[in-house]
Amino acid sequence: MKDKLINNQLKLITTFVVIVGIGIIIKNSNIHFPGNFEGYEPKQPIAFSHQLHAGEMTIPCMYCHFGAEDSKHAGIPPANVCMNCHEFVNNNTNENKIAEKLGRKVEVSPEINKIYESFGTSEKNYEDKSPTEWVKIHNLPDFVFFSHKPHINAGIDCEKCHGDVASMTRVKQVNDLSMGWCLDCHRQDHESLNNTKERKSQLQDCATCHY
Amino acid sequence: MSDKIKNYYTSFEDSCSSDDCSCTDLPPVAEVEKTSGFTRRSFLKTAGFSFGALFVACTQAPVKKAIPFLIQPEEILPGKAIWYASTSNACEAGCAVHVKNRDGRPIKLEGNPEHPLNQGGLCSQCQASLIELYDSKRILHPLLNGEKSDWQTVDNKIIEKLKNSDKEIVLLTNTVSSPSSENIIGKFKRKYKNISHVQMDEYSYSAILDAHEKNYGKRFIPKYQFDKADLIVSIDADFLGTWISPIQFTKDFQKNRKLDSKNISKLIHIESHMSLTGAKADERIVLSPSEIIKFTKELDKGIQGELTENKYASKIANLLKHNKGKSLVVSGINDVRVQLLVNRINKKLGNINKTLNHKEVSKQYAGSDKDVKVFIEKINNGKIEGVIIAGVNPVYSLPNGKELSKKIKLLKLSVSITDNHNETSECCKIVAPDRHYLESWNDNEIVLGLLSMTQPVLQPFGKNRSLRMSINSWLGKSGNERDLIRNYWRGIFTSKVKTTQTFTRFWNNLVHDGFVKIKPISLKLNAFNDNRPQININKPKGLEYILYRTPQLAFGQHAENPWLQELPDPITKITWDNYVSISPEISKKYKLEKGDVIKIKSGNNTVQLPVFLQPGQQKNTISIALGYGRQGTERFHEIGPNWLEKKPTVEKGIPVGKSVSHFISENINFTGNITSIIKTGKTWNLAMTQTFDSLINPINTSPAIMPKRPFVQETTFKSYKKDPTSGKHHGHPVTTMWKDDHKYKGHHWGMALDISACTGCSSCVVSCQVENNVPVVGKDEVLRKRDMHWLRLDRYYSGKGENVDVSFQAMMCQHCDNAPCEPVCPVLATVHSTEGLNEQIYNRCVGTRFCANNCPYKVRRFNWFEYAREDVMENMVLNPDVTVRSRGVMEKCSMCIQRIQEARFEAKKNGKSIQDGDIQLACQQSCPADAIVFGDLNDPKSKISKLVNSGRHYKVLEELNVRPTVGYLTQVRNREEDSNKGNHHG
Repeated sequence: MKDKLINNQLKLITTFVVIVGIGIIIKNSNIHFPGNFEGYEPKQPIAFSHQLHAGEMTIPCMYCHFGAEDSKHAGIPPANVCMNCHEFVNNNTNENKIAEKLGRKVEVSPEINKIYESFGTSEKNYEDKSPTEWVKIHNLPDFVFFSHKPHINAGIDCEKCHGDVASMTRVKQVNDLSMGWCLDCHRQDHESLNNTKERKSQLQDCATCHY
Repeated sequence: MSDKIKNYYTSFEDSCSSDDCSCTDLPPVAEVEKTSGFTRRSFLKTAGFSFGALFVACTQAPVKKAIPFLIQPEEILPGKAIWYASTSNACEAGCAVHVKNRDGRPIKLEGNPEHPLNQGGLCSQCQASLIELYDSKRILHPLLNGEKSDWQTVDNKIIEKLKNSDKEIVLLTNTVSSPSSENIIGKFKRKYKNISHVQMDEYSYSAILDAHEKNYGKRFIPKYQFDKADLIVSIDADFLGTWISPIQFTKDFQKNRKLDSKNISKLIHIESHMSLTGAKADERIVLSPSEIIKFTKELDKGIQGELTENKYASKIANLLKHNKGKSLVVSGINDVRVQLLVNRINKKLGNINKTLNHKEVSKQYAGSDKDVKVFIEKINNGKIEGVIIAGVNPVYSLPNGKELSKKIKLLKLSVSITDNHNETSECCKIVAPDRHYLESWNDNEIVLGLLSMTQPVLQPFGKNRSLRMSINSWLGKSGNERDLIRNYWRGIFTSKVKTTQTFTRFWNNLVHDGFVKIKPISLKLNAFNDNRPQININKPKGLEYILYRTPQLAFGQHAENPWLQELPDPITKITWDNYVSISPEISKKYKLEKGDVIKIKSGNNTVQLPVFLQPGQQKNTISIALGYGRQGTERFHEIGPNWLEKKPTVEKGIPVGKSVSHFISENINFTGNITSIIKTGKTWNLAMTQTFDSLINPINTSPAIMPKRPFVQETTFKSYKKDPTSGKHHGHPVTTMWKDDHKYKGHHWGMALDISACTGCSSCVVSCQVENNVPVVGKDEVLRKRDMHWLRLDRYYSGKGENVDVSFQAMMCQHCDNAPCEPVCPVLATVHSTEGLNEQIYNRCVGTRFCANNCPYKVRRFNWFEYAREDVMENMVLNPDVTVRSRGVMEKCSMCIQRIQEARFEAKKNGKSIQDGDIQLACQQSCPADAIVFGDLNDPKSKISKLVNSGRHYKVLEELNVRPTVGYLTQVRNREEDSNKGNHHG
């Protein structure tokens, strides 16, 4: 009788340990529920480094992603925005300095060259021109409406959702972009809500995002 | 039956629906083999689940690409709409539009509120013309003998024929109101001497033009100013629905119908079938077509001070005499004699240049029946060598179209300039594809002194080219359309505009605003030349017919438009068909019922059509809609969801409805006499929407003592002036079981619909459809009561016999504060917002349809299918801000939540709150009668709050205590009788 009881207790404890163990493993692994792409870090066609541009060079986010203030999409910068700088900068600064010291011609970085190539090899050949096809990282389902416009205008920092992009060489999705995660913010009071009729309760309406 | 246990069945199709059913025994349940342990079945179950789970968990999500512009134009921001001002060429009325462009494609058309003609309103046809741009069956390459060709070959062929012609070549077009086109056609005629230009309008207004020529020496249509008339007598002119420029007229008409002013205008309408104007009329006189002509003659007698025996005529003549200079008599009959009489009446009443503007005259229609007749005679006599047909479809719209098509086929040169295959293009050797107006440049002088601009809003889809550019290349020139128009205006702008501004400025303003006022040419009219026509009409013995246009299909120009085909006729509520409207008297005489197919004979012409019993129809007149039976509508065979029991909207190779163009008389008169009516014995299903969506309790489901529900509440102008609440139904005391604990602290959105203003034009229905990605379902689905319109227009009749009143009530989700749909949803997919909106959350919905069952207004729509979205081209019209609903999901009016959100974001950006008028819903924006008002009920200064407190405001089914936030304003008619008598008091 006693053996049986201990046996049962042992069984229970083992099951508990196994379940918790599996839970911990899943939590720390890359396995996600379908639809959750936390940690998504795809390879991009140009090895563009946010760490260099946003971090070292401290270029403001909205310089390139200028749509965020007035549109649903923050936007991927068109090649002509890249060319504002890269018309003059065609290689890494260090390489440039070394080249200057040695007095040799600066070689064009193969990654930056991809921007030049997108404009076509010759000026007249339109067929040749093709914009870079970036891989989209932050995706939302079709039944969710998200607009950057109100968030930026409310003074929400880009880092709040996108993480510390300035330290990322390759951009990675750091949040799970789930509804619960959205609501974590929408439940909080924010200074931008003080002046308007819109209270935070409105931000929890279903149709704030779903329509 | 009574001594047995009750039978339960799920539908009438079950065998148990009859009384003598004896199938009480249930079929035996198959015995399940009982086994213990892990069986084969449970293994399969477990394995299936695990494999499924593994499969779902391990599939990789598709990689999505984000492709930016290479060089982004400064004004374009992905995800943000740009609006372009343009002019609609969907019909000749030339309403000004704002085109909403998202990411390079136009997705919505809205009226330009600053334009003096349509003043922000837009009709259903124009709204729907957007989808024709994305029509995958459009002709995008020139065709030579039906085969794909290129412009060079085609142009060479045409130029060669033009050069070597010895006989006349006719350029047959619709009305050309573009000054630059007129100029280039002039050049064309000068270069090729054999060219002659004939203008025709598919629905002819020639009689008005001809009558004015006889009276004043110039062919013109005056500008009718319904806003300045206190008394309008309309003799079969459906000016609120189809006649000349209905949106402009509706806007103007409403200006003199403001109930807070001392007087409102009175509309007397004389007609033989029920039209939109007849539905709106304060007094509607029902006469047969021949009686109407007689009546006009008598009315003229009465006005001129002669004796008249007709009691209506003498009464109306007296009324008109009391309103000299403030009255307006119009007639839609295409008979010069009638139009001469109308001109005489208006002259005598002193209405010229008061309610009838003879200075800024309309250039919308200039076609001449006489010229067309001469053209037909010439082509029959072999005097013509070639035709170039643009913008019209004479083979379909002329009564002798069939013979014409045979003659065209014999010609050496036959060119059709059209953007779609039609009857005329089929018999032409060369088809030169035209551009959609959203792809092309155009300038229109719609009314003298008002220049409207059309500009392209996207790159053309194919190698099509407008008439102007075609003529340009036949003149041997090249260039682009913009420069052509721009250079034309550069040359003449100093003579047209007074200001000292530079041309670039003038042009930029013109393109930016969409229109500009220019100096009108002086018409130099002759003094009134009185011309009293002789009219002798014998009353016909048998029945008469009248052919009319519906506001949705007009004369078939837009027959290939699925949105318009599925838009229910505002009066009959029938979709996807035309039919013979008959009076109950005719139905009794010939023993006809709804859906019986009859054969109508008039002279040598016959047509077989189903019958529909129409209240308010003249007892000896039948009416048939024009614009059906168009070639090209065979395509709708495929429309609608594909499933096992699908029935096609039309049989393979058969067009929608039947054409009755051959019933038009030789003088282009739309009336005539019926020789015989024969019952064929066949029946036809008419897909009607109101039979199932109406709020009236069906007789077989409700007890007879059930009180009639006052959906439409009506009063007269006199009573309204005494008491603004007159005509309103006295409310029942309602006991509520709901606590009043939901306070709307921020905004509380609400809507009010003015039944008195609504003309039933249905423009809101299409506007809503475009804005909210509402699918088209096809005739079979409509018959199964599964139409998807979020906004429907209920039509209610009152009165008996010929004297029937019509009221329209736009019905959509009422956003009830105590919404009955909400507590029954098991998954909380329909919930209430903090701003008083009833929200439908598609991704939560599991499709139980309990909510639709519990909705007293029957406004919820269920996605029974994944509605056809295979046509990639047509999908470009979808609004990216609104979810495309999938199968098994309930949907309904969201009060254009995407527009509310957009206004909220914009206000936030500017650091303000949303102001009254910032949000314009799709239906509200397009309404030409300004009958829809939306706003914040919590703002006491808002327009909506004022209307709610105006006394006229009531709510439908108020006794249910669902407390809708959508309200209605009573119907007010300007007539003598007291409407309070028959009202139900609770």
